[in-house]
Formats: sequence, structure tokens, C-alpha cells
Amino acid sequence: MKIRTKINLTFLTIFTFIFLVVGFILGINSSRTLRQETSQAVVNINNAHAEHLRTYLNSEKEVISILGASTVFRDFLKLSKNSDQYQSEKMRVEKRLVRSIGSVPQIQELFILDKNGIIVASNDTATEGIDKSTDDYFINGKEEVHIKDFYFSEITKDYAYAISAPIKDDSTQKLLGIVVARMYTKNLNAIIESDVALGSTGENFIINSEKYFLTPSKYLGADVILKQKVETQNTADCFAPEEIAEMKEKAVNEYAHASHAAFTSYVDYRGKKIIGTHAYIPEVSWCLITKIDEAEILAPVYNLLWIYIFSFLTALILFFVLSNFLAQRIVNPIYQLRDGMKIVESGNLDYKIGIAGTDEVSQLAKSFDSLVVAVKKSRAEVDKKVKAQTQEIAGKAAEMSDQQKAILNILEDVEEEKEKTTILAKDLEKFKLAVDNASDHIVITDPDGLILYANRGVERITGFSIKEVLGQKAGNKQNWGGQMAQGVYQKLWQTIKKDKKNFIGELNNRHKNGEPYEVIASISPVLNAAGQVIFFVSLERDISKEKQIDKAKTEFVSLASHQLRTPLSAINWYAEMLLAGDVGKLKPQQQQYLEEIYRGNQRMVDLVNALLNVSRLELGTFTIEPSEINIVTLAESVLNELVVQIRDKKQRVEKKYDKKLPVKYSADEKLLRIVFQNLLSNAIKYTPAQGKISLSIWPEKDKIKIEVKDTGMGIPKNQQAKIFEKLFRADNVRATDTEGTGLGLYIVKALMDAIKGKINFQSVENKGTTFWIEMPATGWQKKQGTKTIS
Amino acid sequence: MLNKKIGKEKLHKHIILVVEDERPLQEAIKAKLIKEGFEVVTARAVREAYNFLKDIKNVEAIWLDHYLLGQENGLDFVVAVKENNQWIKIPIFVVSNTASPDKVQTYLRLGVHKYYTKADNRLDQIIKDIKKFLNKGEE
Repeated sequence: MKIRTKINLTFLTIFTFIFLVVGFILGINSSRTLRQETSQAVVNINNAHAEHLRTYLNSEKEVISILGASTVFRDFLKLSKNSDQYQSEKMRVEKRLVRSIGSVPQIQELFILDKNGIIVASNDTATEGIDKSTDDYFINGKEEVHIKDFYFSEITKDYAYAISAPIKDDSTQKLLGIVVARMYTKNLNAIIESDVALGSTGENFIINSEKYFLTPSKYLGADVILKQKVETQNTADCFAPEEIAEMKEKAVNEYAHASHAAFTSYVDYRGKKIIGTHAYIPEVSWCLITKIDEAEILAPVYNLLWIYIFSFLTALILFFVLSNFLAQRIVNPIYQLRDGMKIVESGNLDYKIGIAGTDEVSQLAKSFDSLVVAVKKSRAEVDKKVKAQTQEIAGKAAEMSDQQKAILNILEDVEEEKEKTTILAKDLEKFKLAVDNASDHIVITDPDGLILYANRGVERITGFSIKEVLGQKAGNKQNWGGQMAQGVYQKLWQTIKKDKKNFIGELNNRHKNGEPYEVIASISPVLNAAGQVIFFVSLERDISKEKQIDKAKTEFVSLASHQLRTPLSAINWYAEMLLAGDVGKLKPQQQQYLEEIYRGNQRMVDLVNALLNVSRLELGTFTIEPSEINIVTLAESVLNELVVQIRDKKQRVEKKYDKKLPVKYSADEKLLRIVFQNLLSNAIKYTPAQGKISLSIWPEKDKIKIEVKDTGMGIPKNQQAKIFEKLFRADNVRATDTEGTGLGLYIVKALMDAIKGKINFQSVENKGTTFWIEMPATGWQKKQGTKTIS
Repeated sequence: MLNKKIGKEKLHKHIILVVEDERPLQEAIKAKLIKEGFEVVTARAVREAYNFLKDIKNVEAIWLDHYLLGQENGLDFVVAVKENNQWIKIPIFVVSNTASPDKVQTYLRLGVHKYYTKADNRLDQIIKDIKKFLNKGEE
């Protein structure tokens, strides 16, 4: 909170507090005084009016009682009706009545009842003879003066009260009759009429013993008379028995009494708060009520309050202005100081607050100014130092950042290396496992051939334990080697150590138990970056079993070729002789049958030959003996052999031999013949009569290509994948021709594989088939084997 | 001995020694050769054939199979024949079903005239070749 606000608030709070306390005390006091004063005034007014009323009523009673004692009336009443004087006396009485009314203006009507209650004389003669014996004023007026309570007179059509007094025989005191005066009520109204002292809201009114209004209400008018009751604390107290008893004993002038304090703050018949009192009127058992509205009494207090508030506010504003002005005077220099400090704080050390004067704030400002000068000076020095240090730190930070980067890089590299190493270790583990458990004999040696590592295959194949052979020279007489001529080993070492090349070859070894075995060995030198041998890796596979199987197969093939062909030869030659008529001419049917036998036998021979070729091919033991041949000549010769079949089927043969074809081509004539025979005979066989067969041969890049195309039955699409399988024959071919062996294309494919050639085809069923052969333009490679293919 | 006389009497008949262990084949060869005008001597083992050569001086051709009865085969016989100067010029026609190339090569190197695979050749064709060779020699 600002100082100015604090000063203002403090002053205002104190001021307001004092004002409120004073106002409160004043208000309470003045309202209490006003109440007391008013209360007293009300009591006084009430007393005065009550006295007046009683006096009035008593005087009226007096008047009527005097009238009752009038000898005129007495005499008249003593007369008999029938007497002569009666009428004259009556007139006298009547005159007297009228005269009385004239002299007592309050009297409305005056009449005389006889002792039986009959009106015998009246100022209004019309009423004579009316029986009033049951009337209150008759009954109660027999002994003394009686005031009959308010009633509504049917005769006058007005409210009235009546006073009756007995007329007695002056000697005997016997009742002669009663004089009755009906009184105007307006006089009563006048008596109790509001006093000026009751202000604008105060009023007096009378109620009877039944608490009905007898005089008009200031607020409700005259209609309330005998019609509305007033049930308040005031009226209840007025008719309290002790009050009545007390009042009855008191003389009229004794009425005023100090003890009879006014009621304060009770609620009147309107429900309004009033200050009021009452007075019991014993003569008529009435009650005079006097009251005034509290609001009216307190009005001056409220007025005072408003004035008080107004003056309070005025004083407040004035006070505020004053205190503000004062605060301003005190605070302004402080603000100046504060603002100056802010400017300095924001960095302007050249700023001077410079408050003139000799007070505390001015002194403070001056001290601050000199402090700032001092600070400025020291700061300049500090800045200088800091600048120097900052530069130094920045340099070091850059250095450190570089170092950190370098370290991070190294860490990354290390991490990478670690990962690589882990992967390598895993790979190495895998490789080691693989090598350890490989079925082949694997040995790693140093450059001198001393064994560094041997796998389990070594133990299994050689019979020597790994422990035994480690450190020994590999393939030495000491272990599994040294079984072959010295030259072989010399050549081996020459290859791997001097030439630093891979050695592959078959070697004869010896098992630990002395049994010889054959291996195919692959020994590779492992070189370092400088090209020096670090170690050798030797892989050896035991091929003894394969060799044995190979030998067995070879023997089987030669045996089969002999044994199968011998009976076939017998059939062949005998049939031949029979057909030649060597033992006599055959009958035509015999001739025909024999020809079938001969042909069947030829097929069997072909089949056996084909099977033999296949087995040789599979063994890989067949020989390829290339010689310089002319491909076209060979093709023509094969076509010539097939000329009979072609002519039989009336097929057309189209030949296309490229001019660029070499005159001499290096190939195995027998094998190439088999290729041509197979492809061409198939084309002829599976092409219907009058079909076309095309043979094309041409060179293309480094290849010689042969194409055999037919318009035959084709190969079903779903069987094309199997066409080169052994003994496979397509469904459509099998249905039409029984002579095929299912070996022809298999043999051609095997041959092509052996000479690094290719065979391909394209076929659409019932449209035709095209076969392509690709052979290396450089010719066939020689292959040494044990068998030729016939 | 009987054959010897006959051979001398019938000048134009060539004497041929057929060494073949398989009886049905031997019969067929013999029958066909006779039909073709040959005088035929048959043997089933090397020793037997060798004896015939010794006994019958004018054998003009030898028909030889590879596998024969007994321990020795056609090669042994060829070696024996070619060792003897008297017989060195007798043409040998190997007719066998055992067509392994090494054997064929061996026979040809030892000086046999021709090698035939039985199953692949007609009798008349082989005999025609023999006749042609013999007549050529005569001319």
C-alpha cells in the first residue's frame, strides 16, 4: 500500500469512527428526550381533556338533576289525568321543557316519563304516550341522575346519549316520574377535539366500556361510532378493574397524576407505532384515549440524522482533500527518490535525483546520488575485469566444447567398433561352429605347413586326434600324408607357397589304422596386405566311397552292355538270316511277322544304347573327343538318314545354313550327331503328314546356334517344365507314339551342360515346337573319360 | 584235319576262325559265313582258338569276341596272335558288345582290323566288310 493511501486511510478511519460514535450518542439521547417529553405532553393532554370531559358531564348531570327537582314537573305528575288542571299544567310543563331546551343548547330533546315509564310530556308533543318503561334511562334513572350510553335514536336519526333524573315527591321522596334529556354528542366531540400539541398525527377519542368508538376517528371518520371496537393494550389497561377502582375514588380535579405515564411504542388500531395513554371516565364508564404517532415525534431526530450525515460527508470530503494534500507533500519527494532509483537501477548511472531542501528525504536523495557515483566508478572497474575474464572463459569454453565433441566422436566410434566387434564375435562364433562341425577335413597351418587348427572332420577322416596333429606338418608321413610320389607334393607346395595359388587335386592318404583313402583336396594360401602367406587353409573330402561306387557303376554298365546286348544280337542276326531267306523262302505272313520281331529288337537295342549313354553321362565318365568337323555336312548326313521317314510322311524340310558359319568347327562328331538325330527325329516323329520342319544354323556373337522348328503337336504347357527330365514323355506324345524312350532330350541337355552350351525351346500345343541349341563358337572342350557314347 | 583237306581242294573258299563263346551267336555267325562261301572254324576259348591257329595254317581271317570262356579274353588272344610272325598278317575283326572306348582303343592299337558292336551291326554287313578286305588282299 502506498504511503499516501496509508495516511489517507488512517485519518479517514479515525474521523469516521469519532463521527459515528458522536452521532450515535447524539441520536440515542435526543430520541430518548423527545420520547420522554412527548410522553409527558400526551399524558398532560389526556388528563386535561379527561378533566374537561368529566366536568362537562357532571355539569350536564347537574342541569338535568335541577330540572328533575322542578316543582312544575312535580306538581304536574302529582295530578291525575282526569283532573281539570291536568291539561293546563301539562301545557305549562311543555312550555317549561321547550324553554329549557332553549336555555341549554346541548339538549336535543327533553321529555318526562311518569312513574310507569310513559311519556307524559315532551318538547315534542308527538312522542307523548310512548311507553319507555323498558328503557335504560327509565330503569336506571329512578333513583339518581343517570347517563345513558350512546345510542342511535330512531326519532332523531342521530347518535345521542341521554341523561335521566328522578322526580320525587319532596315530602315523601316517592318517585313521581323521570325527566329525560337526550343530549347532542357534538359537544363531546368538541371537548376531545385534537389539541395543537398533538401535532399532525395525534388524536383523542372516546370509547365505551365495550371498547366501541364513541367519537370519530381522525383517520377513519365518524362511521366507526358504535361500529368499530378498539382492541389495544391501551384500551385493555384503561378498563382494568384496579384502574377503574382507582379512578372512581378520585375527584375530577385530582385527575392529573404523575404515576400515570404514557405508554410508549405500542401499536394502535391502525397497526402504527404510537406513543399514547388513556383516562377512565367513571361517570359514564368510558375511556378517553390520547395518542400520537411515534414517527412524528422522532421526525426531528431523523431530520437531525440527515443533517448530521450530510455534514459528515461534507467534512469527509474536505478532510480527504486536506489529508491528500498533506500526504502529497510528504510523499512527493519519496516518489521522486523512488523513480530516480528505478532509473539508476535500469542502468543509467549518470542520473541525479537532486531533491532540493534539507529534509530527511532530500538528504537521502543526496546520499543516494553520491552512492551511485561511487557504484559507477567501481562498476567500470569490475566491468573491465569481468570482460577480461569472460574472454578468457569463452576461449576455454570453446576449447572444451571442441574437446567434448572430439570425445563424443571417439565414444561414437568406440560404440560402433564395439557393435562391430560384437557382431564379428558372433559371426566368428558361428563360423567356428560351422568349421568345427563341418563334415570335411579342415586344417589351418602356418606358412611352413605346421598345423594350427584342425576340425573334428580331421579326427573322423584321418583317425588322428586333434591334439596329436597340432604342431605337426600337415599331410606328412607322421600323420595322414606321404603316400604319393615326392613330385606330387613338390608340385603342391610350389602352387600354394611360391605361386600363392589355390591347389585342387585328388590325393591318396592313409588312415591312422593304416587303411588308404582318397581325398579331393583344396588348399588355399591366405595372404596379408603385403601379399605374404600368413597361413594355409586346407579342405579335404574323403572320396573313397564315391570312387568305389563309381567303379561299381562302371562295371555294371559294361556288364549290362554286354549281357543285354548279347541276346539282342542273337535275335537280330537270326531274324536277319531268316528274312534273307538263308533257310528257305518265307511265306509273306511269316516275312511280315519276322520283320516286326526284327524292328522290335532294333528298338530294344536303341533303348539299351540310350540307357547306357544316360548312365555314362550321369557318371560323368564319358569322353568328349573334339575334332574339326563341318556342322552342315553333319546335319545333312543326319537328314539323309531320316529321308525315308520324311518321305513317308510327305513332310517339307526347310534348311537355312548361314554363310558365315565356319567351315571347320571343333566338336565331338558322335555326340553332335546324337544331338541332331534326337532333335530332327523328334521333329519328324511329332509333326503330322505334310507338316513342315525347318533347320537353321547360324553364328551369333560367340555362339553357334541351331534351330529345329516344326509344325507338330507341341508340348502341353503344363508339362513343358518336365521336358528335359529323364524318361519323361508328354501325354499327347504318349497317346500317338509308342516308340520314344523319353531319353533323347535328356541326353541332349546333359551333353549341352557338359560342353557349356544351352538348349531352349518354345512350344504351343497343336501349333508346333522350336528348339534352340547354343554352342560356344570356340568349339567343344576335350573331356577325358572312360566311356564313349555310342 | 578234315577241314584242312577241304580247304585245299576248294580254292575259292576263305577259311575264317570264329572265336565266340555264346553258342547261339556262334551258330548264327557260322551259318551265315558258310552261306556266304566261307570255310568256318569255331572256338569258344582263347586256348582252343590258339590251337586251331597252330593246326590250320591257312586261316585267312579271325572273327573275335572280347569275353570268352575261361580266364583269358579277346585281348590276350590278339596279343598272342600278333606275337607270332606267321599270324601277324591275319586280319582280326573284333565283334563284341563290350564297347568301352578304352578297350576299343586297345584293340585298335594292338592291330585288329576293325571293331564292331554286335547289337548295332547286321551279320551280312560285317561279312561283306570281311569279304571285301580278303578279296582286296587277293588282288
